[in-house]
Formats: sequence, structure tokens, C-alpha cells
Amino acid sequence: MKQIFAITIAAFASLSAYSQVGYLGKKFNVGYNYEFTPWLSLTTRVNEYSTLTKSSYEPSYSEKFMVFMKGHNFNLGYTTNRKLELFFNYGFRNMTYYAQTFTYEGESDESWVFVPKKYEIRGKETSWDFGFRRYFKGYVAPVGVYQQFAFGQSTGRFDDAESTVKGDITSNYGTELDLSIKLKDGLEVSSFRLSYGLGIKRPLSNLIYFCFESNLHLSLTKLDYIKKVDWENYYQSEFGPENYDEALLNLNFASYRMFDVKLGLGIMI
Amino acid sequence: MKFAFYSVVFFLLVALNVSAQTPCYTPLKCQGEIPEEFRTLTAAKVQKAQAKERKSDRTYTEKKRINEFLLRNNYVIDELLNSGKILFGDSLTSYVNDIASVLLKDDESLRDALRFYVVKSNEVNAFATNQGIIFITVGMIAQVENEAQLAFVLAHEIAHYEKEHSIASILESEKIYNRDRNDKYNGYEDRIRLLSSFSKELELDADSIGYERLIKSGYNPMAASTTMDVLQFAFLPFDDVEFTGSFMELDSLRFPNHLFLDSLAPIPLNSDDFDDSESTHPNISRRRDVLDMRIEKNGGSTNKYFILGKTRFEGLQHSARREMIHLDLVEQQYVDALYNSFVLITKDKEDQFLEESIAKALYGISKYKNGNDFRDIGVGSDDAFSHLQNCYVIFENLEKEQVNLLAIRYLIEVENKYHSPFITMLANDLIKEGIKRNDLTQESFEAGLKKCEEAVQLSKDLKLKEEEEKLKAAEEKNGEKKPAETQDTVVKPLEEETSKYDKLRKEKKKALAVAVDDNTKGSSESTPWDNIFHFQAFAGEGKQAMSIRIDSLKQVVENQNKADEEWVNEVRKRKKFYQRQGYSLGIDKVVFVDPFFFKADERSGLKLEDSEKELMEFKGQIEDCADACNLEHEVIFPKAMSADDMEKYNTMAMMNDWVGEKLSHESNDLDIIPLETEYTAALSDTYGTDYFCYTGVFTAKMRRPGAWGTVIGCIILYPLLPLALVRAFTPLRQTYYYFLLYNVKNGQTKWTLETTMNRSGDNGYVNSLMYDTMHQVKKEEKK
Repeated sequence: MKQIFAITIAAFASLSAYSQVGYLGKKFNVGYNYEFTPWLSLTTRVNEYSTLTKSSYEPSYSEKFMVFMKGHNFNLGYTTNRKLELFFNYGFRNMTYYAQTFTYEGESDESWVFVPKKYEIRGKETSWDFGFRRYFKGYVAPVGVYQQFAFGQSTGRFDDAESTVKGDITSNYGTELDLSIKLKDGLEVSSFRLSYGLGIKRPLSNLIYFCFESNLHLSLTKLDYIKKVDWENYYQSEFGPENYDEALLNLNFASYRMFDVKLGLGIMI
Repeated sequence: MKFAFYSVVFFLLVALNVSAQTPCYTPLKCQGEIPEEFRTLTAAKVQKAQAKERKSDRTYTEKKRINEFLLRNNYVIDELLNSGKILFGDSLTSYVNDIASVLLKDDESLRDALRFYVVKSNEVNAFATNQGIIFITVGMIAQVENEAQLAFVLAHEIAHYEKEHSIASILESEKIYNRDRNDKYNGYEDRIRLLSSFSKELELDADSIGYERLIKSGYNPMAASTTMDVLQFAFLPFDDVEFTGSFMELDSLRFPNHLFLDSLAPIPLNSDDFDDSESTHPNISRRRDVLDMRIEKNGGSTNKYFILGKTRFEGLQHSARREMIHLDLVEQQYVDALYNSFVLITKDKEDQFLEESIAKALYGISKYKNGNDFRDIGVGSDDAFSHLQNCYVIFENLEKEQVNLLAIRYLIEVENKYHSPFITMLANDLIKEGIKRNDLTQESFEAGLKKCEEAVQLSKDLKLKEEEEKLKAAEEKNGEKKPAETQDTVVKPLEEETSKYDKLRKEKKKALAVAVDDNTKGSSESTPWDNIFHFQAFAGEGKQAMSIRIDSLKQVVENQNKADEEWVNEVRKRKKFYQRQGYSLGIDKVVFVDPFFFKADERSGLKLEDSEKELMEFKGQIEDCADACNLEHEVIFPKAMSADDMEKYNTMAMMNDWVGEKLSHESNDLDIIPLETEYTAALSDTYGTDYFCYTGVFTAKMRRPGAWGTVIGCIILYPLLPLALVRAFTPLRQTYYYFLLYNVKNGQTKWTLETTMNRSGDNGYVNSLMYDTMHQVKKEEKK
């Protein structure tokens, strides 16, 4: 351990001993970013009793949730030349998904009786990205305005234990419902993703910088989840109420991965 | 023994001769210790002045206006003090101070409060500041006739300080402004007229007080009146001497007469009675009349034009006039410099400085002529008077190839005479310029020369023939007939055997020969001879040397062109590589001169105090960045100098002149060796590097154009409205950073970098850019 420590010190000392690119010759930078992701969750009306006529079954998607998902990121950057910086980013975040389902209460000849309900599914996601930042004209890596391209992988795990009921819902019949929704055997969603982002690193001193960036992600795997969301036929009878959980979960999961915003601080070494 | 005696005598004579030679004039430099006011921070000066003002009995509004004035004024004056344009401790400044001591011998407290400096400017001017600094220009010292006139100018400026005229002007302008605001019928023009009228009163007041002080000091009162003549005719050269082109000092060269004007613009003798209704100063005629009346009324009892001595005045004016020529050259007033040198050289025949100044002026003229920018130098023939007009006209009329060759010839002449390496550098540069831009080759040169020699020879033959014919005619008249067969043998066979074309060719040659002859007789028409007359300059000794030189420099030009082309191709081909990696200049040491940092805000104006503070930090940043990339460096910065850093101060002054000249040429897109290079070249030995750098930052905060339009647009796209509002309320910040690296030895630009970013000039961004720049300067190319 001591040897590794000594070698690391010696490496940094030798790197800074001669003129090199980077901020005042500092090639490495490490940073922490707080991530928040605006997530648009679509769901049907909550806490509302529904009697749906079989012949005109059309639940409305009128309620929207804007939820900020929060996470933490650590990144390491290495300035290769005046315009380019390679970086590795590791992040983890707690996720709360709002899922919508209906509880089948019975039926008559003409209608089904459902009680709609909203509940949270909590999960954790870890991700890593590797890519490069290209600094715009007038700026020299690793500070200034940049665009970045990266590829990486994110793995989201939703455990049984973490899926809890959002609340009690009173049915038309005055029955207190205390539903406990569980995902069978948990759910793991792993996807390979490509990212493009824009950001700025503003030096606050010769050591510290402030960072603000935003990324668009394109998840390339687990497409089969998304395929299940058939917009045209989604509300038709081929998706029975029993499939709604999964369908909505996947839809929201896809939108979650599309966009994020990060704010952070870092140091240049 | 005898041999030894004569040897000793010989060496003594040689030594005496050497020491008796007039040393070549060198530009004026500051001497002694740097005065404290050059080194004190402006903010401290402002604070002191404003604290003093707070104790005054003035109203709140008056104090406010004066404080604003003190702030701006102190920064402007400090900028001048730190520009390197101000002389102190030198012979001229000492002289001016001595005159001031004569004027103020009875007022010690006032003498102690005042500081006198000479400004390196060829304008004829003097001015006083409310801080007690009186500036007088080199141009003024060069143009006055005697010490008493200089004393009157100083006495006038002392009066301005003594009576606090600058503060009075500020208060008066405030009054006029308020009066103007309350009276809707008072327009801008009336306001100007009122201000101008007040200012003129102050000027006449200063004349009056200055006059009293002049006669009290024992100077001839007439000097006050004759100073007005100096002010009136200061725009003219040192003297009005007929300009014939004899400045070339080449016996063989005769300029065609039609190149000169027959009728010259007369000097406007009544220019002193101008309309002064909107001027700050009364017209000269009025000032002269008032002074003449005073002289008549109270003329004093002395008639001394010199108290400190005529010899001292003449010696110093000699320096001032040479300095003025030097300043003219630096400021690209080449024709004026040439004419003034020509005027002085008619008195001092053998003067290395003057001859070299003519050579430098010719170099500049030729370069600007080649770049078709001749109109950009000097006033031009339309605005010049008397014989100076001819000096402009000749260069306007000559073709650029002709000016090029004539300048080369003169430079070589001066080079051979004084062996100055700088003149050799200029001569070589002009020859290269001729090769590059005027198709000058050994062949074209020799062909032109041959044509010229043939024409001259033919002209001589014609003259000889004419004389013979005259002689024959005289003999015939005297009855001594020549044998008839002689005429037949000479004329007839020629006429019979030659073709039509031969005859025409002969006629053409004869016409050329006649033109050579006519030129000396004063013909004012243009002839074919005009195109080749300049080759006369190379007749005789100069021919061979020039031919060899063209040949050797042709190779240099070819190699240079090839290298330039390769470099351009390299940069084009590897554009992305250079964008990523930057350049590798491999320079070990750089001297940073006079760093610059300036902050402005569109809403609240210039941020003078902030700028100075940031400038001090900027100097530290330069040092930190240079240290970070192991670049050896020195920062020459007046506010960080100690009293003993005189050499650094002079370096800054010299470099500021040099870079000013350089940038001026570059604005005309001309590749010219700055003439100051002659003096700056020595700096490379002093500082151990050829590379001097000017770097700076200008950062501004301004309104964001079209921001509110975006807000209105976002009313439709309402989710984006918060962003649009943030944008509308956030000002646009822009920062401009420059880094100019020069080689002072050869006068070339090594590298220039300019970049603008839409960010504030925070230390971090500037550090980033500066380090990157210095890294490229230091980095050596990988082999």
C-alpha cells in the first residue's frame, strides 16, 4: 500500500515537473456532481372510483407528475490536449417510480368496476459512463464550455422489499383498501446507453471548479420492455388490467433515462 | 626615435579626431530615480485628492462633480505617466525645471508643489493638471525661438494650476448644465458656446498672470507676444528651405523637373484670426493683441531672452529637434521627418543621425508606397505648405519601383559611410521587397541601368555634335569651307542604307537623349526618360555591388517564400492537430511589458478602480502561469517598479514606442521593420531573450441584445419563460484576451493570439488561457 502511495505521489510530482497541457499544467480533475432528473410520469386519475363501460372503455391520462429523481455522480477527467478531455463517470441514484394500476372490484353485464390507485416502486440504479469532452472555441480544457459524448451502462434494481403501497384507497363500497403491491422476484433493468451532453466548468480558484451539465441519453438495450407499450392499442382490451403495472413501469423507465441535469464541484490536480 | 615621436603624435591626433567627432544622436531616455508619483497606485491618489475635497466648503453637488472629475482625471494622468511618453531626469526636463525655478524663485511653496515633465510628442503643446504636474512637449521645445518663450509657456501653465482653472471649468460646466436644464430654449450649441466663452476667459487670465510672472523673473516681455507666432506657425517644419531632391547627395542623379510643383501653396500668414466661438482657446490674434497692449502699458525693464544661457538653450533645442525627427519616424510621418532632416542637414553637413533619419524615412516611404498606402503617412501634398509640399509631391509622382530603387541606393550609401548594421538590415529588406513586389531581378536591374547609361551617353554625344556643328557653322561663317566629301561620307551612306525601322529606332533614341538634356534645362513635360532616370543613382561604383546583392538576396527571398509556403501548407494540412496540440515555439524566456487589464460596464461606465485592482492581480497571474510552465520571465510593470528600476522604465518606454509603430504598420497590412528596432535590438542582450510580449484583458458587461424579445416569444412557449427571464435579467459578459509576442532583434511578430469569450474575465478563465498560451510558447517541437 505504501509503495502504491509513493508511486502515485512520484507520478504526480513528475507530471507537474514539466510543462504540460491542462489547467496550469494540471491534467487530472476529480469531481462530484449532484444529479437531478426531471421525470414526467403519466398516469390516470388517482383516488377516483371508476366504473368503466365495457363498450367504451377509455381511461384518461389526465394527471401528470413532474418528479425530480436525485442521484450522485463521481467523475475523473484527464486532459489529453487543449481541446479534449477523457472522463469516467460513476453514478448511483435512488429511484421512485409511480405506477398506476386498477383493482378489479367486480363487474356487471355492462361494466367493470375498478378502483384506480397510484403506488410507488422504489429502486436503485448504478451507472458508469466513459467518454470525452470537447471544449468550444475560446476555451481550453479542462475549463469552459464543452460538449460531451459518452457510452456507458446503467443497471436499475427494484427489490421486492422496497416496493411499498403509496396509500389507502377507499372504494365505492366504502371498503378500506390496504394493498401491498410487490414485484415478483424483483426487477433488474440493465441497459447500454449513449449520451450527448453540454456543460460548463467554471474555475472558482486554481484548485476548484464549479460544474453544470445536462445530458441526453439513448438507452439501447431492454427494448422489449418498451415495445410492450403499444400506444394505439394500449387502452384496448388486449392489455388486461393485470398488465398495466408492467406496461407503465416500462414506459416511465424509458423516459427517465432520456435527460438529466447535474451540478457539482471538482478539484484540479 | 624620430619614428617613435611621429607615431605618438599620429596616434594622439587620431585619438583627438575620434573624440572630436560628433557622437550620433540617440533618443532621449529618463535618468535617475523613478519619481514616486509614477509608482503610486492611482486609487491611492484619488482617495487622497477626494479626502482633501471633502474638507472644502463647496456644496454637495459641486463636491460630487469634482470627485467624479478627480477620479477620471487621476486615471487619465496616470495612464500618461505610465505610458513611457514622459521624460524625467533627462537634460530637457532638467532644463524645463530650471526655467520653472527661475520663474518661481520668489514663491518656494508653489515651486515645491509643482512637477515639470517633458512629453515625447511632436505636437506643440503644454498643459497643467490639478495635481500640480505641468507637461510640455518636445515639439514645443523644438519650435520656440528662445528660453524666454519657453518661460512664458510655463508661466501660463503655472497660472492655470495656481488659479485652479480645471476645477473652475468643472464647476462652470455644472452651472451651465443646470441652467440649460431649466431653460428649454437653451440648446446644446448654446451650452458649448457658454463653456467655450468661460474657457477663453481662463486662457486670457492665464496669459495675463503668466505675463506678470515672466517680466517679474527678468525675461523680455516681448517673448510673450512672439510665443503667439510660435503657436501660429508650429505646424510648419523647422525652416522653409527649397527642396530639390539634393538630399540624395548623388552627383549623378538629377530628378526630372516636372516631378516638382512650379507653384507652391503659400504659408497662410493670417491663420491666427480663426473663428474661436466654439474653441476652448481664444484665437491667437486676440491673445497677441491683449499681450501687445500689456507690453505697451507695462513693458518691464529687461530685455533678456536667455537667463540660463543661449548655448544651453541651443544645445537642448538641437536635441529636441532631433528627438522630434525621431518621433516623426516612429509615428510614420516619414515625409516630415525627411524634410526636417533635410533642413537641418543643410546646416550640419556631416551628421550621422540626420543622414540615417533620411535613410529610414526613405525606407518607410518606399514600404508604404509599395503597399499603396502612401496617403496614410503625413498630411499629404494637399495640406502641406511651401517647400514641404514639393517633398510630398515628388514621392507622390514617382512610381513605387523608382522610390524603391532610390531608397535602396541611399540606404547603401549611408551604410557604406557609417556601417550601421540596422541600416544594412533596412537596405536588405528593401531589396527583398523589390524582388518580391516590384519584380526586381539582376537582369531587369542591369537592363534598366544599360538603357539609362545609353541615354546619358547619347545625350552627351548629341551635345558634342551640336557643339561641333556650332563650331563648323562658325568656321563656315569665317570663310573656311570644309571639304564637301566629308559630309557625304558621314551622312549620305547612313541615310541610304538604313531601313524605316532603323530610322524610327534612332529617332526614339534621339528623343530619349533629348529628354535627358531637356530635363536639366527645366522642361516640365513628362518624357520616356522619367521611367529610367532613377538608374542614374547606380551609375559608377554602386552598380556592381547592387547587382551582387540582388543576386544573393534573391536566393534568400526564394528560400523564405518556400519556407512560408511550406508553413502555410503545414498549418492548412494539420489544422486540427494545431487546434488540439497548439504550437511549439520552444522559447525559454519572455519579457512581459506593460500588462493591460480593463473592465467596463455598459450601464455604469468604466470601472477604473476595479481595473487597477484587477491589473495588479493580472500581473501576479502572468508570473504564476509562467512559473507553472517553467517559462523564464520578467514583468515590466510601472506600478510594481522601485525607484531604482530606471532601466526597466526606459525599456518599457522604448518598447511601447516600438509596439505602437509595429501595430500601426500591421493595421495597414504592411510588413515593415519598426524603426525603433535599432534601439530595441540591444534589449535582447540586456534581458537575455529576443522575445518581448504584450498581453492583456478587456472585459465588459453589457445589455443582452434581443433578450426581451425572447421573453415575449416565450409567452407562447410558457414553460420556457423562467429561462427567458433569467436570460433577460442577466447581462452579457464578454472577455477579450490578447497575447502579442515579438522578436525585438529582427522586428518581426513571432506569434499573435486574440480570443473572445462570452464569459466574465474571472481569474480562472484568464489563467486557463494564459497558461495555455505560455505552454505553447515554452513547448519544444518533438523531433
